[in-house]
Amino acid sequence: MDARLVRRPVIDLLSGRGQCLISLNASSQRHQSSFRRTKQHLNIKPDSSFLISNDSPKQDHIIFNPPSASPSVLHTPLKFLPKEDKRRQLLAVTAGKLNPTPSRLPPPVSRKPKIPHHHLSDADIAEIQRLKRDEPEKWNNLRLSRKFNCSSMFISICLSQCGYDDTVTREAEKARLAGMMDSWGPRRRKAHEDKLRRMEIALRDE
Amino acid sequence: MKRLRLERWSGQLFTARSTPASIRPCCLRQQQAALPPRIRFSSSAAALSDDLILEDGEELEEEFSSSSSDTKYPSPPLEAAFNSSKLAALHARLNLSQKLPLHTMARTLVDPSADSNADFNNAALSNLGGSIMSYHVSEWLLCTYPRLPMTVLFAAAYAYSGPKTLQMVGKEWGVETAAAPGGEVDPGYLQFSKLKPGQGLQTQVGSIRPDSKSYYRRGMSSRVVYDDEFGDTVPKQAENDLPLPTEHAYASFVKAVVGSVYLHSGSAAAKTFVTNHILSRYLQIASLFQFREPVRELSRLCAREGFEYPVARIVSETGRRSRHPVFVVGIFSGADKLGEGAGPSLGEARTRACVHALKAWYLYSPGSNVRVPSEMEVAGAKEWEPVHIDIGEVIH
Repeated sequence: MDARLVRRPVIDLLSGRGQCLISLNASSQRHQSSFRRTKQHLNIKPDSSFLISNDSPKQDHIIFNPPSASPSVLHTPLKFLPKEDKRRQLLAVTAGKLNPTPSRLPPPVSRKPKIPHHHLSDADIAEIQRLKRDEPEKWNNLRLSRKFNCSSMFISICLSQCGYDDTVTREAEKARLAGMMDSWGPRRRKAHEDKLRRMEIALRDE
Repeated sequence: MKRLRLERWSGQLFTARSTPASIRPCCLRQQQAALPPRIRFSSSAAALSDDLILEDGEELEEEFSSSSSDTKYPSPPLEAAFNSSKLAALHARLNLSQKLPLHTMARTLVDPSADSNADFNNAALSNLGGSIMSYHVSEWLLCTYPRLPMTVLFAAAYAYSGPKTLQMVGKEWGVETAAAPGGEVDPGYLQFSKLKPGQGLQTQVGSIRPDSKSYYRRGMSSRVVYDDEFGDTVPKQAENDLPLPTEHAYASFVKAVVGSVYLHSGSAAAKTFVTNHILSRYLQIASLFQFREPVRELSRLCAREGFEYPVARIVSETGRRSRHPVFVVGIFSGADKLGEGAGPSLGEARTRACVHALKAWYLYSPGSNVRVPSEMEVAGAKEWEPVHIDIGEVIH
């Protein structure tokens, strides 16, 4: 049984549906293929769980080696289980064995340095508003955020009540972006629309 | 405690009644404001004697003088139910108890738009059955998925017991619609006034909400209080005689069957009936979700529950700077992974991972065979263990 298991991937590829797969792959091109070369080419190393080692059981056994798939939302993570749930104890027992805590976590997506929060006083905020009122052309949001080492989102919140009317700036910015999009060709426009559509689909998780 | 005499609710077909029209068993949603007085005999003219059923006595002489009475009535007479093979087949197909008589079965098939008399149509039965059905559906949903957001709960209730689903159920039972209602129709057909082709649906006039203007915003919390089990507005005054869509007629028929099972066979049989025919259907609840700002919602959730701040991390990637890259991003709170998503860009993969984590939170279930409160109604039930009650959805 074990020997047959080891050879199984090759046998599957070469018999029945496997033949079809090979012929599909090599339909248009002609290679110097022979039975021996094809067999050698397809003789890939099986997964380690299929191999017989000294640790593997001596009697008949089931090899559980499912193909990789995206995780199901119906499998609640251990952290999300409520305190009174009985699965919490069961999973806590097996968690150390099945998926041990990794020593190194994967790298984070955004490597941007974190901008400090809640470090500006009322005097600083008054200074931000004064600068914007006095020289609105010079002190835009980006420059102010660099000067005070805070996020530009926070600057825009501070400036929303400073008395500076920014409708003209907003309209100009909107017109600039619209002009930029008008100059796009069909391919870039389609790519942009596809990107927006993909994000909508991602929010519905389809 | 006051004892409810349920047998009286559908028993008016057997007894001579002299009650005035004002205290007829009418349902709340289908109050019939001013019904024209009408005389009805439950049997044909040949059997006119003492066991005559009449409600009002104004047109009595005309009714007595007429001979064949079948076509006079808007719905089939009582004894036609015993001669209808369709009705008997439906009764047998649904595996209903012998306690449920055939003329009650016939009454479930008569819509108020076919026969406006509340003693001969299914308005009361369907109101009762609708309440029982929505009770069992909502208790099952709340106990099985205790963290569902209110919008998803409404959508799931609509998917299980909404009119479209009930129309499917009724059609699967083999019930067909009569071309037009009337006394001569076989009682095995569903009878209601159909909409004419090209005729628009009646727009709802008002609702029972206290809003003075129709364009006022309807929040989720107010829907729980004022609106029906699907979060839709309840019309202020339903006009039963108007033609109605087929799905609504089928829905009131299926609800009426549940109500008649409840009246004749008891609450346990009604619960089994609802479980077998409604709750046994498979619904992909995970596909009902739609998020707006999943990243922010997940961070608010972690802050609320005291978890560490969620961080998006690249689990694996392939083809960066190529035309079709694939990134697999996991959301980690501390060392625990909350969700995972794959996408062609880091932003989309992160969004998908956040949506996945939020769905994993909302779709928590204590198990598919969780006990529901109605299980305590049977004698000798085990002691009730409180089910998990969540503090509510994430507000961000």
